[in-house]
Amino acid sequence: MKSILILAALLMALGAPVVEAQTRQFSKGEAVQIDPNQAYVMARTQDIRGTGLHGDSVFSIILYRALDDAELAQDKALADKDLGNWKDKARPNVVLLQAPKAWQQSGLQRLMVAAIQPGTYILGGVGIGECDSPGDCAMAASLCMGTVRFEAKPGVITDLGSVLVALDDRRTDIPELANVVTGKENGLSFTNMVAIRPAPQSTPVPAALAALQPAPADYRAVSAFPNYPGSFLSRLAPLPGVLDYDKDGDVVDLKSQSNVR
Amino acid sequence: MISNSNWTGRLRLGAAAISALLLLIDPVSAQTVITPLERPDLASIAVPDMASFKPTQSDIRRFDDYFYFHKDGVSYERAFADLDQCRRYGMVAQGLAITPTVVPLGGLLVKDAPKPGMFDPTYNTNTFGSPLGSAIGYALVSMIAASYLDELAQGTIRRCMMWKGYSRYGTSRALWKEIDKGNDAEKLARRALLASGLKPAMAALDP
Repeated sequence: MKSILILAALLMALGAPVVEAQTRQFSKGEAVQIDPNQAYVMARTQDIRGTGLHGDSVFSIILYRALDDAELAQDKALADKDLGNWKDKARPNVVLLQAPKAWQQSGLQRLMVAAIQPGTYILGGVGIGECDSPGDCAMAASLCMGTVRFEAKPGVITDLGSVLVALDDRRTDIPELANVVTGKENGLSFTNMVAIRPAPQSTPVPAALAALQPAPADYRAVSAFPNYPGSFLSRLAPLPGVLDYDKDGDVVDLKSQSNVR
Repeated sequence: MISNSNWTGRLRLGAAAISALLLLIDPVSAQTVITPLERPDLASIAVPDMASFKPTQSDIRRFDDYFYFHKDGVSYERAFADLDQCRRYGMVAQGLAITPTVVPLGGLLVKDAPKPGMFDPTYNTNTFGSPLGSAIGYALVSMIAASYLDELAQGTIRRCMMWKGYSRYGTSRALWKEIDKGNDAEKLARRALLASGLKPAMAALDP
């Protein structure tokens, strides 16, 4: 089994994907200077304390930059031409906020700050593991059955708040997820459940970042989409005023009060 | 199904399975076009009589293998669409997957009223494709990954249907074989007809 795990690590390293070229994550305590042409995001995660011989679970945040029609058309053309390899030729649009490279860490809490390309971003899921390089970060939940999007505007730090994660088959004391997880093993596919605690209710902003006047993310609901990564099927927990689900599992956009399939 | 409650153990098993796949499958054939199934005409579909089913102890023990879904008030058309969407989620389930570089979402998605069924056909599936490895390697994949991925697919479909509001009911292997015959669309149509039909008299199972 050990050799398989070593092989797994090697393969994951060899297959290291390239994250969005215009992403730069700020290292621990690094000074952040605002470039008016760049967008910025800050977000917090919370580790899950390990037990026994097992270490803490550290979660990174995975964002997808929404492509415009021209970019989508380019991708589709690439895929039509070479279905097996088109992603190697396409421009990456995934942003990984790597928790092990947190700008600040305090106990189980981590705060990440990154410069990204301005645009519309979708919270795609969470990664787990060391995540000290993109290829070493495995995706542990794919929020393809409901999530949120936000605008990352140039010259602004958008505060995503806290992205909270709980194992679905265990009880959790995270209030946003306590009634969301199944809390037991039941034959369903294993997954992680994810919630957002918006910026105003999240950990206070460090003074060095507060001086840059971060703006809370204006979240909007996003309906189900294909599970492109193939990671564990999940959906974001209901977010008051933003996202809910009706009895059919369809996303309810609380800001427009419409159901979206 | 992975019954180990240990998170690290799950991660390792998933990583091992995926790695075995990465090593042995043809990466080109791993990209498969997945499209929605065409819904058969309701009049062409018949289902076995489930109402008279009286489960034996043997049937009950195998309810996690042989089951169907039901939801009050759902139409055949909607049930078919729901089952098909969950089927596609099951087809691509890999468990612990490497973080992707490209996710082709945009346009429709970020508008206020996205259109349904925007399943881009170009993403990975957990099918084996054409193994590059030796016969021994293929056997390894079969042992390590196939069972994991198959159970993952079934569990994914169950989770998906749970979130869509369906309940799950057990049946017998013999009845299941009556449901699970023909092509994929016919199989799904029978399940959709059962899902939208009379509510089963028996108690629902855990999701």
